[in-house]
Amino acid sequence: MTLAVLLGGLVLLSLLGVPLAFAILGACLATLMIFRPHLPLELMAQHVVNGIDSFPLIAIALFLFAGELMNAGGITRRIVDFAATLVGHIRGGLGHVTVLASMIISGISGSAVADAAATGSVMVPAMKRAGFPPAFSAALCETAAVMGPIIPPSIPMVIYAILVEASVGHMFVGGIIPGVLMGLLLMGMVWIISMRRGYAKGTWGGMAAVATAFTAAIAALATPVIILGGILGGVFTVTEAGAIACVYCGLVAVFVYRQLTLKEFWRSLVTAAQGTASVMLIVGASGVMGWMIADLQINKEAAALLLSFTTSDWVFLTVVNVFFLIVGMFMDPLAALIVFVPILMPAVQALAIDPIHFGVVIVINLMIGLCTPPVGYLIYLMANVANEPPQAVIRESLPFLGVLVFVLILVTYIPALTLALPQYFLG
Amino acid sequence: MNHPQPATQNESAEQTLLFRLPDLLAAVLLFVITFLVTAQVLVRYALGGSLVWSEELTRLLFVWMVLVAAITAPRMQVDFLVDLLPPRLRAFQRILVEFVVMGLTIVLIQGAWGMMDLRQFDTYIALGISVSWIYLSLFLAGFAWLLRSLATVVAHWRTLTGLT
Repeated sequence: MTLAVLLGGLVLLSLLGVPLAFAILGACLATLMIFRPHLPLELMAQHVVNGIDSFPLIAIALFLFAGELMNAGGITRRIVDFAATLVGHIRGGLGHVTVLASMIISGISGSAVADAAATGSVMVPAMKRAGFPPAFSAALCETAAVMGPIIPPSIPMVIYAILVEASVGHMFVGGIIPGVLMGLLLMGMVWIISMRRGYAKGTWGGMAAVATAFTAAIAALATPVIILGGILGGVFTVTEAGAIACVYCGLVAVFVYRQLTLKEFWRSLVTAAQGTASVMLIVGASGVMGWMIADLQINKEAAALLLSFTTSDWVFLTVVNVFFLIVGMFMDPLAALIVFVPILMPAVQALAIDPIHFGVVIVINLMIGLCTPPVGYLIYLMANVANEPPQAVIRESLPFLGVLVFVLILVTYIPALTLALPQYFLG
Repeated sequence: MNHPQPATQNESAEQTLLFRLPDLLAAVLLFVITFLVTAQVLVRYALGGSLVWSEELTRLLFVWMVLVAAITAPRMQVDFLVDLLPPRLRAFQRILVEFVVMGLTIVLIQGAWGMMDLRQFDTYIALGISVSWIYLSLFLAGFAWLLRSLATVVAHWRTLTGLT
């Protein structure tokens, strides 16, 4: 009953167009007034502030800031040049370059939108000059950007880990194999399509060209190594890794590539702060919801309801995947994560599903939602960059979406893909 | 990171001026946060010590940064349904939504005031300052959120009456 009021209120307010953070607050307020009328309303303010007041969550702001600096400071450009010398000569040349550059950039930025903005701005015009249809290039940049939050660092994984009190480090490392798998299979799909349509390939410049590009890019390429190495080696926490990445990207952009202007630096700070606020306001509101779910034992109600349908972990994961793919069509992935994960977690625990495995599955699933209409932010972003109608981009993205869903299925039913690396490195 | 759609379509000159100040403050706060977290690592490895107050201060500044940046930040919302509405109905819907937002903001402002009152004698262990400082961010930012909502209402009211 409480679950119905809470979720019903949330859906109603959201569909009316109330910003999600306030839709969550409104639904909580209504539930409170019906079921706990004697409680003081100060609780709302208290839990909003407590929901934001967390050291690990600061990583979100820092990784967003690092991503902005990477784009403003010419780091993206060097990574693309390096990728071009490595895989540009394969059939479908620049398509492979897009995927490889996206993988490397994923190791610096934790957000798919930052990833798409980075590769899209460079690769779409370059591929157009090389004779690729713009809609194809846009679709490829869009789907390759999904790796951004799968290959560490990852903003949605930070949020998930905080929500379920899991280790951020384990989540990050769990994303490595699925992310790399995505990249390799996307390249395979680029190759198949390119063979069929006869897309161009570049020429192999020899190891000397690779070495030259590597030297030019080495400062940029070191960023993912520093971030991941630092976290894996226990040198610093995830939040600290974010700050180090910002300082490193800033220094490289100013002193090595000499490309970062004061104005761009300032714009990076403002964009990162605003991006953080958009997400964190919802996280804060969900602080109220999290407390209420526990207080009114809504999670038990939800778990009992879910477990009355099935007690098989495979069936549960399948149903959850289908549910989130549908939700992802209409809702922002981070918002969906924050709203639904606390409700689902008791059932996940009851079925003895590993929370790290579940988290990686959910994050991959919801990130695919960024590429599915009608609410797929990346579609419109890339259609805009390529100056193509969204429908054309959607049509071209179908084979790549197929690849992503295939990886999602593999990761869902083979837990070792997620869990082997964290167990090996972090125990 | 997500959905940088324009918050209000009718952004006027006075609004941009109003928007500059929170952006400035949020940017400075993020800069200081980056600095503090980096300093924490450097002090630990270079000097072998630790800045005991730095984590508390960073978290306090982060809450301020989020709530202040939220004054101007685009708000994530589900708008594929309301986008289908004709312009006048859409303006009406936006006004309605802003009243819901303002109502909830007032609940938060009142709550923040209550919490400041309740916790004024509790102090941060390392910083030594009152815990009320953290709730002050919500209290002050809340008033700015109200201003933003009012500006949106006025803008859409103009659309609504302008088209009549």
